[in-house]
Amino acid sequence: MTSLLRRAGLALALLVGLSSGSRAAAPALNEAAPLFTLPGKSAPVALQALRGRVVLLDFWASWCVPCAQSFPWLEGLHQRWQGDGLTVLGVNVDKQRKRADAFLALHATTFPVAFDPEGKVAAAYALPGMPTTCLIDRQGRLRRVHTGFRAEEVLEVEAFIKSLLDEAPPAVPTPEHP
Amino acid sequence: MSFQSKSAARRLLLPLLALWAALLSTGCLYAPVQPWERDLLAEPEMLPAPDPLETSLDEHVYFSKETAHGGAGVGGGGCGCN
Repeated sequence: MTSLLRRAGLALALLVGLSSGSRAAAPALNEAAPLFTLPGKSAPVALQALRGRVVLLDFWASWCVPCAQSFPWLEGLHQRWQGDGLTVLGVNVDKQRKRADAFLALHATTFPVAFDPEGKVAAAYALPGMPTTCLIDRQGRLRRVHTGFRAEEVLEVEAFIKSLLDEAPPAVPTPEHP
Repeated sequence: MSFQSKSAARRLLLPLLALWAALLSTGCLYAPVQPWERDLLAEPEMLPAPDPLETSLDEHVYFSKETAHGGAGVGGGGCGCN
């Protein structure tokens, strides 16, 4: 009888294990943002290396219309605040690199871009939609997740970024941003 | 077949059945397309009928016949106004 129960339990565990979805839970706010290293335009991009800076992580794709609308704004943020400690990092989730490159040729940017064709980082951040903008503070904590791009929300998001920039940097010395 | 090998076969039966059921259940896996995965899946080539005219005619007929179910898309229906 016990062995029958054990077998039934094993079968149930198998069932649950095999059929449960692989969707990861969204990372918690005010906790450490999931770290990653992704290939960039030339050198790999590591989130860890940006500790001490405010990071605006923008997940975008060539097929995402609001992403295209947000690019001039992202570029403006990069120009305006990179000296104050903001890093705008675009994470592309196109399956095909050539589509991402064509988009970048059309929307010239100077902020760094990383490529996540397998969507590993997108899954780690459990994006609720496209585009998603994640704001990470100087301590490396995920502070805010913003979905979509709407002109009327821009000022409010900018004010939030400003408040993150005004926060004290972490006590431990951090690597200098190139 | 000896008595012992017969009972060994019986012992194996349940785990094998369990494994079979577990493997079958993977067919019920619900894995929705995630927002960042739409990309190539949303290409027009991925439609069952890639011809837009044919699709729109098919959908119109389906929508008109199935209004009680909400047609091919969003709810409502039954009003006969399609």
